Amino acid sequence: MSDTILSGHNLTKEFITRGDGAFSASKNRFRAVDDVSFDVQAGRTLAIVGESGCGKSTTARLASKLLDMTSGTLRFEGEDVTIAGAKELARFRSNVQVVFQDPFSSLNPRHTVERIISAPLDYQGIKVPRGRAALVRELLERVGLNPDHSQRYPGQFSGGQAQRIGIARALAVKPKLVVCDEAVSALDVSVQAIVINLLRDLQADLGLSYIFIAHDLAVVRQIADRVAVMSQGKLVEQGDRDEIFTNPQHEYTKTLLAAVPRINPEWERARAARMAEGTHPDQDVTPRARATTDDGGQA
Amino acid sequence: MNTTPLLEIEHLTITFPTGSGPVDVVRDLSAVLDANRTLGVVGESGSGKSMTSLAIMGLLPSTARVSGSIRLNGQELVGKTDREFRTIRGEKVAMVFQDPLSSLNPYYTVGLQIEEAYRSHRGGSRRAARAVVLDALERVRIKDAARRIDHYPHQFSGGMRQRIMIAMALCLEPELLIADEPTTALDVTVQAQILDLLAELQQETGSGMIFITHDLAVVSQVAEDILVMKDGDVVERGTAEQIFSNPQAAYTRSLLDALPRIDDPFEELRGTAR
Repeated sequence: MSDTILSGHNLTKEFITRGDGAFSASKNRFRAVDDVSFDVQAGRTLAIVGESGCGKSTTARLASKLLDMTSGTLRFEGEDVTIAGAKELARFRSNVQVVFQDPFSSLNPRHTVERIISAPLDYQGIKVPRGRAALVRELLERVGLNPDHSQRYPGQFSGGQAQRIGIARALAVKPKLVVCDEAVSALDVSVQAIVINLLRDLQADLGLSYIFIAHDLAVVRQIADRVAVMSQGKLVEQGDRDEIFTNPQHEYTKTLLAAVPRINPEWERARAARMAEGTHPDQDVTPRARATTDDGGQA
Repeated sequence: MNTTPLLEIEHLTITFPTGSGPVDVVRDLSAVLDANRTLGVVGESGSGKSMTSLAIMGLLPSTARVSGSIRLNGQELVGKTDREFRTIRGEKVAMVFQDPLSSLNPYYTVGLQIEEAYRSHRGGSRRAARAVVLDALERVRIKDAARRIDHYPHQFSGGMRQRIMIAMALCLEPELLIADEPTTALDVTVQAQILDLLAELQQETGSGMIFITHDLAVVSQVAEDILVMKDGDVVERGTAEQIFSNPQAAYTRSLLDALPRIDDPFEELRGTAR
């Protein structure tokens, strides 16, 4: 079927930690990622889910080579990139980019949006014949922001807008794979929906592949093609999205899915029926409610 | 037949002065809560939901101007001095916050901290207080409480720390518990345990609860009555069933449209701005 773009084989990451006592000289090894293997298909989304400390973010860092693995093999388009020299690493980075959870702490507050978005081009030594300003404008438009705002600073944007800037930055080098590490977790639900839709649109238009790290399983249900479930550094179960959600095999996956809070299905059905009938009142009963949020997009 | 409700809020408005004039963070909020009931307050960031709870606790910054009325068992809270509030906080109203680690002092054992909180209200000997604390820790199902009482906050997991905060809130037997995003920082399996625990304890104590959250699915499970807030306004109020099965306000509907459902992959989530 589709081609594998990135594959990890037996990825393991150990951290050296201090021994038990606060001043203890003894050292322990802590295995944050333990023998994890996965394939990401081109144009598809692999979600890695699990609870805090399960190793999902460390796996994301290994997959994006922000962290060196203790053992294992990482291949990008069939080529072994486990050990990469400066040149190979630059090439890898122009193919694999990362979007982080907190948009504000991952954007330099003193740099203009244009400088932030074009920074990866400098690191990768990529020249833009038609000029950076034009490219930045195009990228801003692509993520639904006003291209005239390229000289603004991150503090002048809302959380959802700032996350779009982070996405635009990731797209600047035309990557094939984007690793989203809890990229929508810090956003309000209405803004989160916009960013999820944006990520899906970008995937459809640009053929992007995603590794989507998340603890929120309802979000994962909306965006993933494949789901890998991690617990205590190990990958406990991996499969197609609907398989995992409707027919989980591993006990841990079952526990995890059962714990997710759900709205009473009867209420959901009643609301859906009302919506289908179109009996929802369309007038607004609230004094100041607006049809849009502050996220604003192109506004 | 009409008895005084546990909590009655009428026309509560909270205003902060800013460089560009006064800003209302809560506008004309009214609500009633009876003992043994849970009122859910749901909204996105900046909706004013946490400011409302701080007003009930008398914990707003001194620059805030509060008008309207907050009555606890008929007793007016608006206009009380900080000193007067000290006998109400903890004793009558207790609060559980989102982040237990920042609410606990890392230098003291959890037992000592809860003891202090208890004795500052009830006095008595340390020995007597310790017995109350031990009992509270057991009620929130901390295993091996007799040993754990002498441990420091960092020796507990996030979920256990939240249990400790709940134990601290409980030991003075408050009539009203305000839980402000109490499970937001927790893993989903731990969240389920804490929600169960809060429900069980409410059954036992019969206290009223205000549950503040941004999470619609969570609030649908814990609250009987719900206020939906946006930018300081209550845009909708009703029973949980009304809010979730027949939402009236455009904003409530847009929130429900935007919410991803785990059982049901949507073709397109509907954000409120594109």
